[in-house]
Amino acid sequence: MSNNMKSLKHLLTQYAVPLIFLTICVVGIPISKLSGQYLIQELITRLARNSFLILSLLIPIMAGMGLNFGMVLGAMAGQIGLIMISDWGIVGIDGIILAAILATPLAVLFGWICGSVLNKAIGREMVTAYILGFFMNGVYQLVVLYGFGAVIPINNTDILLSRGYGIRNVTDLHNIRQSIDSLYSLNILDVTIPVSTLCLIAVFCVFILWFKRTKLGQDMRASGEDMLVAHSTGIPVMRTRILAIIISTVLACYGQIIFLQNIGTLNTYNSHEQAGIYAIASLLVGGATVTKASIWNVFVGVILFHLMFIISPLAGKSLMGEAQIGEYFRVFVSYAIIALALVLHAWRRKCDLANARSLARETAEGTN
Amino acid sequence: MKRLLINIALILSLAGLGVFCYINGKAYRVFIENTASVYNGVEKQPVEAAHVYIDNNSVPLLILAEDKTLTTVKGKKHTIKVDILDEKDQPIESFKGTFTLSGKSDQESINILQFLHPNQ
Repeated sequence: MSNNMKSLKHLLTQYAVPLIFLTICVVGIPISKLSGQYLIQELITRLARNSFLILSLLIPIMAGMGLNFGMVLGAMAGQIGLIMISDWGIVGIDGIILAAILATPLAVLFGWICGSVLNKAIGREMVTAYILGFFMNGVYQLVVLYGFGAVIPINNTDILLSRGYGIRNVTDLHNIRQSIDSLYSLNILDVTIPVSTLCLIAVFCVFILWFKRTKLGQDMRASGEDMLVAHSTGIPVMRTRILAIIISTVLACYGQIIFLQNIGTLNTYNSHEQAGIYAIASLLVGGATVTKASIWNVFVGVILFHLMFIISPLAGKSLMGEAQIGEYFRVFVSYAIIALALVLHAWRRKCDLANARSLARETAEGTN
Repeated sequence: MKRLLINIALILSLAGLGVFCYINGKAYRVFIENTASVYNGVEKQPVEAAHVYIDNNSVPLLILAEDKTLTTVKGKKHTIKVDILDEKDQPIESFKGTFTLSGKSDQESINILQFLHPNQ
């Protein structure tokens, strides 16, 4: 095989997922018959809403822990903070800051638990974190359904179930709805740009770039590349891995608060479940892998994945006469893309091992 | 030791920020009233109609004589602007003032008449 063909094949396998999505979007946009202005408005809204959550996944990947399915724990902490401020009737930016302050110690605790468990399951972090998410979901539901109102005092009857304890299925967040987005926004050609939220995301991007250069960031990278080598050079690998998960969980908690302030409604028992899957799918769609992800992957992923989200119901309606088909399409594509990324990761790893083996053989034959 | 002190200072400042946000961001329900009342020994009669702006809100509350309306405000200290309206709902006189809520009750009442001609 010529070098050109090899490099083309490498490029196609490297960017298979974003290319598939780009094709779906290019085909789907004209079928959906949506206007350019509507698409741009929706994309900007979704970019502001989701980017923070997805960015929180970068640090564990850097530390070699794969996709942090445990980010749902951070989302749960954020939701508990939001329930508390809804009960106390704290509104606006103050409410969001207070929710973040209340949720931070919870997110640190959840992150520490998750990191400690993942250190016992080295090499199988993703599946462990996924199952841990299910377990903690049960604990969250127990606390929110039985603890709130019974053990933790809740005075706001609007959010409380009629039996006197437990939080309702849907919590109205009108008190903080779009507080960050509307702090400073621009209107250009009838497209509203939430500048304040985008600035917050930009600050987070700068933080990640700065963090990579710090001693802790370098330690995480070294641990991610080779744990044994990192350990032999004196890096406290286990502690570094726990810190990576704690930082990711805390950031996911803030990301969920930003996400929900934009939506304005908290689906008390489900919002956090969706957060993990969609954030991970978005990152993978952006061309990230289980072992490598950058800030660009986040933004490319949000644009492509959410473009598909926007166009799929209407494209489904135009093609099949049923909008629900498009809804099903986007749900199964989310799961399929995660499965595809994991299969590609396993396949690439196998190829790398085979290449390393043949290279070792060639070297050995050359010396003989 | 230095690290411990920094951590304690950080936690305390976060707690302080939390308390500030709680006090500053707490929402209160307030009845804005336009009913006859006595202020400083002077009985004031309700105005026919008025537009009330709280904290420079762009959307005014319309209150007629012997009427009251419920609104939600953030925090305890507020500014109020009362525009007295003529029969065509055009402002003829404007008064400004400030009020502080006690925070003891979920629902408090503020009568706009106390802000009209405060020196009388």
